Formats: sequence, C-alpha cells, structure tokens
Amino acid sequence: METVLQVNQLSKTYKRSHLGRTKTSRGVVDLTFEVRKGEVFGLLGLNGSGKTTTLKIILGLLFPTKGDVKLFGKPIPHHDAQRRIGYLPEVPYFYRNLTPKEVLRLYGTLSEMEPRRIRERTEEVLKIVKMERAADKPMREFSKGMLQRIGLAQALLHDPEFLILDEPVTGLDPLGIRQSRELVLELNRAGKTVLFSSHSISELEKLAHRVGILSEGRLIRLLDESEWRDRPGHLEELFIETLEQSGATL
Amino acid sequence: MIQPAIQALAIARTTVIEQIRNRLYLVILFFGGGILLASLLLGALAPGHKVRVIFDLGLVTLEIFGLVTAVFGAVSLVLDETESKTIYLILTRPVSRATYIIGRFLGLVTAVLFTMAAMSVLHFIAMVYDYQWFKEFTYGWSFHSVYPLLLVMAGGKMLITAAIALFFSLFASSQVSALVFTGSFWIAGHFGSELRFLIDRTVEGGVAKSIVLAAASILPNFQYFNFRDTYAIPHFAGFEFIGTALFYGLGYAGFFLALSTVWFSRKEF
Repeated sequence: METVLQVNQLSKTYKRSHLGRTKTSRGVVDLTFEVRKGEVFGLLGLNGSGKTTTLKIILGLLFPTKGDVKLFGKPIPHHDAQRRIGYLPEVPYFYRNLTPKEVLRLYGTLSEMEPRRIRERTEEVLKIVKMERAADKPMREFSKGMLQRIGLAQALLHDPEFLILDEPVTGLDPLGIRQSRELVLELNRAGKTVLFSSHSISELEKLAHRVGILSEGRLIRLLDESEWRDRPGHLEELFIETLEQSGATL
Repeated sequence: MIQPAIQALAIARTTVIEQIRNRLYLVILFFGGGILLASLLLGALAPGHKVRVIFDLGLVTLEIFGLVTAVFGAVSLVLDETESKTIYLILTRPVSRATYIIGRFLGLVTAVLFTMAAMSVLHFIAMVYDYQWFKEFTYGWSFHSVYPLLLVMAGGKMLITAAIALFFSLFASSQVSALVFTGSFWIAGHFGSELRFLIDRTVEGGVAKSIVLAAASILPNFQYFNFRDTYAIPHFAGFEFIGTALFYGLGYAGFFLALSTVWFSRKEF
C-alpha cells in the first residue's frame, strides 16, 4: 500500500536558555511510524505525550533534532508536499478583523489556487461546515465552535489529499462533535488520508483504522482496528493497559 | 517567480486590511489629524512665522505618526501573529518564510504610507489656508513640486523604520522590547552625524575607531532624508540628493529584511 507519511527515528529535544543556563526537555524520542494512503491514523496520548510536537515537525513548524520525515516520499519541508496537505490546529486562530471569505481568499492564494477556483471552493467549504450565513461577518464575533468550523473550512479549501487534524473535536458541542466525525468519515470515504491526534478515545474508536499510542514522547504501541472493532470501550482498556505496562505516570 | 510574488501580495493585502480595521490604528490616525489641525492654532501664536510653524509641525507630526503606525503595526501584526498562532495556517502552506517577511513588510509600508498620505492631505489643507506665506517661505520654489518631494523623503524614512520594526517584532520576546528597540533606532538615526562626530573625537586608535564606526553604521542615518533642512538653498542639486536617499533607504531596508528572513527561517513555532 502506498505510504503518504513516513516518520523515521524522529527525535525532538527542546532547549531553552535563560540567564545563561540552558534547560533541555524531551519532545519526542525515536518515533517511527507510517500513514498509508486512504487510512485514518490516530495519535493517542495523555497531555504532554508528544502528539502536537509530532504534528508540528511533520508540518515544518518545528525542526527535528534527529531522524527524518517524508511526506509523499519527499523529505520535509517540500513545496509540492505542502500543497497536498490540509491542517487544522487544535485551536484555530484567525485574523479577528477579517471575514471568513477574506481569510479563505488569503489561504487559497497561499495554496496556489486560481482566483476563480478559490471563489468556487469558498462557497463549497462554507456550505460543508455550515457557515455560509456568517461568510461576511468579522471573525471577532465568532464563538469557539464557529472558529473551529472555519478552521476546518480552510483545511479543506484546496481539496488536499492528506488531512492533519490536531484535536479536531476540542471546543465543539456534542452536535459539532458528531458533525465533525461524520465529515471526517465522509472525507475518508472520498479517498482522503487523515492523521489526527486526540485524547478522546471514543472519537478514535469510531474513526481510526490504526492508532499509535504515545507516552512521554515515545510510540509505545501501534494498534489495528481489528483489535477493538465490535467491542465498544475496548480501545480505552487497551490504552490504559498499554500505559500501565510501559510504566508511564498515570 | 510569479507564485511567491502573488503570495507576498496576498499577505500584504491582508496586512493592510487588518491594520486599517484595527481600532488602535484609527485612534492613531485620529490623534495625528488632531495635532495637524492644532498646528493652525499654534501658528496663530507665532506672528510672522505662522507658515513655518504649520509646515514644520505638520511634517514632524507626519513622521512621528508614521513611526507609531509602523511600530504598532509590526507589533500587533507580526509579534501577535507568532504568539497567537495564526502564523501556523500560513507557514503550513507552500509559502517560503522569505515570502512571508516580504509580504508583511509590503503591507506594513503600505499602511504607513496610507497613514502619511491621509495626514498629508490635512497638512496640505492647513498650508493652503495661508498660501502667500508658504510661497514666501519656500523662496520661490514651486509649492507643488517641493511638498511631494518632502513627503517622498519622509516615506523613505518610513521604509527604513518599517523594516527595523518588523525585525524587532520577530526578534523581541515582548511588545514592550520591540517598541523600545525600534524607538531607540529611530531616535539614534536622527543623530547619526553627531554620533560619528563624537566617535571621531573620543575614540583613539585606528582599529578601535573603525570597529566603533562600523558598529555605529548599523544604526540608520536619517540625515540622508533631511531634505526639508536643505531644499531652500539656491542651486541645490535636488535629484542627486533624492536619488542618494532612496538608494540608501532601499539598501538599508533590504539589509534589515534579509536579517529578518535569516532569523525567521530558523525560528520554531
């Protein structure tokens, strides 16, 4: 099966200097995994386990200390690979004085889309995330859930093959969570590959084909859907069991 | 080559829109306009020098409020953007970090020049109010050709100021330090000749003097732009002066933009 993302022995050590003293802390350690074309891959872990660090390195926001990452077979950062990904941050922040249409025009241009295509896709994605009525309102008036929807709209705007979602259901109400889940499933059915991080086990259980469990920066277990399918709640048991076996602080 | 230019212009456009819709920007514009109109009153307090007061105070106001716009624009758009994480959605797209810096710079300069242009209209009105005085003050120079040139010179200073403000917004860890660093450079830039004179008088030894002078040359030299101090001199070689100033302005701003790009390319988020 074709591989969309390859992460090989990836490590990240943070160094922070203050008054001449340097402190180091571990982000991720020797991380190796791959995401295959057409699958939904979930990164599961407690707070501070390295999920966001991993995603940020893949996206080029952080630089690895060791190891390498390949997106669509090309070492990051790669211009062509970046055109093929869509990213939703944990809490999407936007320019407060701009409207959704204006930010989508900006992100579309930055994604090298043609102006006509931007206009067409703006209408489409705003409809998908049910925000067409708020298209011309300044985003300083938006709630957290509305901003999350616009975040999803910008991630889908250029019709990327690979979606990277960082805690996509954080801040959403129950209806928003359900709509977000249905959208991810629909996108996946349409052939999109999805990598998402979450500490919501129930969401991963419903969405992911495979799950990587992260603890203290290390990938301690890779689980396949067959291990929890048709057994509601079993992923949670597997997660706790894995953390206990690894000696992680619970 | 075309795509980075399109992307930079898109970032510049967003920068201008964000800036113009910012309440702080509107407050700055309002106060600047207020001071310009107040110059009419101050001019009335100086009989015989009315136009000079309006003229000088107006140009200084234009420059100071241009500086304030550049600094607050850089801090609120660039420093806040890196802290608020809006930058994630830009840098995860196929956009080079150099393109981002150039786009932000172009937007910032446009917003500053827009501020100055809006204020210069008020200034112009204040001067036209007493045209005869102005004509005498300019020693026969054409009113219409001198004033735009003075604005071009003030704009040249802003090119440099915006590049410095952008650099410190990327480099500084807080808004206050970005404001202080940029303000210090702006003040030092107006005393470049005095600084060089002091170095010449106080630093002994060829090598030591060269090192101190080289360090001082990092500071901008706004003397290149002080057209308003010299334009009234008869037989003044205006275009040579303007050419040198703009060449210096572009070179200096380019140097700081290059520094910003190097720094920004290594920055993690």
